[in-house]
Amino acid sequence: MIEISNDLIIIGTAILVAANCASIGTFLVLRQMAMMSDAISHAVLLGIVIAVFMVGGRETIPVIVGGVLSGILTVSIVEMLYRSGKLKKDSSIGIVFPFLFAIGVILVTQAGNVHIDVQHVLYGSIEFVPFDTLYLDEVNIGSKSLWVLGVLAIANIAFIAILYKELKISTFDASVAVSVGLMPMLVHYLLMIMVATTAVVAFESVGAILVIAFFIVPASGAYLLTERLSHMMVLSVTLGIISAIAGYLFAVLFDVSIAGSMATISGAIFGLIWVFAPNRGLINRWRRISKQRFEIDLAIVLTFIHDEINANRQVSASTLSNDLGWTIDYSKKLSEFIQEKKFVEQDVQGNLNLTILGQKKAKYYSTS
Amino acid sequence: MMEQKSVRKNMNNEQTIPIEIKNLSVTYRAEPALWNIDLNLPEGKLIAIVGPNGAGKSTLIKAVMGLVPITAGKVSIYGKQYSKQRSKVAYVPQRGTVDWDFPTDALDVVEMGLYGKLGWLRRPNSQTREKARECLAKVGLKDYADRQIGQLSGGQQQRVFVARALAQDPQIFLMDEPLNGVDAITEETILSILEDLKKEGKTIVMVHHDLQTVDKYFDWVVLLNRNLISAGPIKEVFTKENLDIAYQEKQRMSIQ
Repeated sequence: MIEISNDLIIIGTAILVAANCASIGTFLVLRQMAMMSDAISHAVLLGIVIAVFMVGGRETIPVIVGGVLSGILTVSIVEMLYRSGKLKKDSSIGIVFPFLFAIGVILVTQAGNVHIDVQHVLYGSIEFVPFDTLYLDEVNIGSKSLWVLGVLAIANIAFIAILYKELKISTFDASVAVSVGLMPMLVHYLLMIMVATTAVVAFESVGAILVIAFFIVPASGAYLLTERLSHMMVLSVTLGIISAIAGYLFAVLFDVSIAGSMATISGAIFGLIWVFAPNRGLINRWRRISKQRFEIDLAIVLTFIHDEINANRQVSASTLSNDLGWTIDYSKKLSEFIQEKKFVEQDVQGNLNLTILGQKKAKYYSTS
Repeated sequence: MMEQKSVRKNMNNEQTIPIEIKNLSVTYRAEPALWNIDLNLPEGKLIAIVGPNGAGKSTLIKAVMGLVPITAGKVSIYGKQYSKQRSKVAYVPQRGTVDWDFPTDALDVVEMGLYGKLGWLRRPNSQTREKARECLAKVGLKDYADRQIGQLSGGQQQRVFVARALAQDPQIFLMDEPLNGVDAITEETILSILEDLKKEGKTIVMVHHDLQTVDKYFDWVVLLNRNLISAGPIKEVFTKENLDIAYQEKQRMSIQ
């Protein structure tokens, strides 16, 4: 067996956690289920602790089964409360998961002989991942976390690939999914099983609090960058992996929490996308709005000059600001712009006159 | 003509009523949304569901498809349960029910209408793409296939929904206010498509809000205000007296 350095095991774990969460997170974002994923990633604690109690150790399979069961329990109770018609969805989530999580916390603090502590539960312990190795017939086959996450990645990819069409239609329009017989509720619960499985596995390395960042943040960034579902998924995974690597380097450089750094970097990257995204970004929106405003003001000034001249009154560049209630700077800028564009000519007295082009433009604006 | 039709259907031993609603009641919370509706909708007709806000118009078509829980009563599609007849029914929901920022294009949405025929796990292919393209062309949006759906106008979005229903190739269309707030071109396009569908013997049931156009566009009308006021051919049913009853507030109170 080739020896992989501890650093590589940690980075590999981080990358796989990020990629697993980001792929399935695409659907969570589109289904507006961010808080549900937070609920699941907390509530799995209860199942994990019970599983650990029952088998007396952190065996992978019982832990996953326990975690998934408590995740599904959470989703079911939330939906039951919500469907009763008395509570809103966010309140239902806010009631259920702290309850289940709190029971888990009580059990953890009571469990002197079980190797879970609260610190580990909250922030994970990706730093210690390399010391957990997997044995097959007493032969060391390498890092347990890499194996488990690798298998999970295959499961997630297979899940999305096989049910892509079903996931897409039930996410976009559940009523039509029902009407074509593709059972969106079944798809929903299958997705929740995958989310819970991913949450349990990610729990080990990044803890209960930060899992939501890995599910939601890269997918939301991807959402702002593309208009195609398949692209969104690829971008989401890419952003997740970049955050994982950059976060690890940041943590090593400043000697701080790895999981914390990854989530922080991921948030920072999202912030950049939110500001700079080509279509849906903040700057582009400002630009669009100011462009539209300029266009409207252009229409106002040209129709104003047009109407004044028709009424046999003179318009001068110096009085525009007064006439239209704009700042002197802005009216100057606009009057220079319309002269530059040859909509308007200034005569020797300083009066503005519409050119033929300007007249056409003014007519176009006043009719549209 | 009528006799011929019934003979043909008797020979095939098929149920002839597209939608049969018996004693249907739907309740949200304490109040009934629909109360004891008894209604048979005929084949090959353009049928409007008309009534004031909160009359249960949308609820009625959702109840037909089991999208809302039925408190009492029964709905049959061509004599059988809806769940056995899904492929015979297409649903055009209100535009506001989906997220138009969803990362997908017009063609993709239309193709979703064919997912049911594909069944579980089978992938869309060049045939379904082609069929979806045809349906998109029918609603006049051939050139908008690659357009992200949020960048379509409201009327175009509505036409995409209609195209998706066409792709399902059903016997019955259930439409929830497809003409609400759309432009003139969209309205014309949808109406001409519906006329064609009618000629093919399809049944179209549409929630409609504009009383001015009911007699112009439809053959049949269902007047609803939580309970059934009246249903039948426009000439017989779409009368001032019936409308007065349907739009009277008293009507609602009497149920409670």
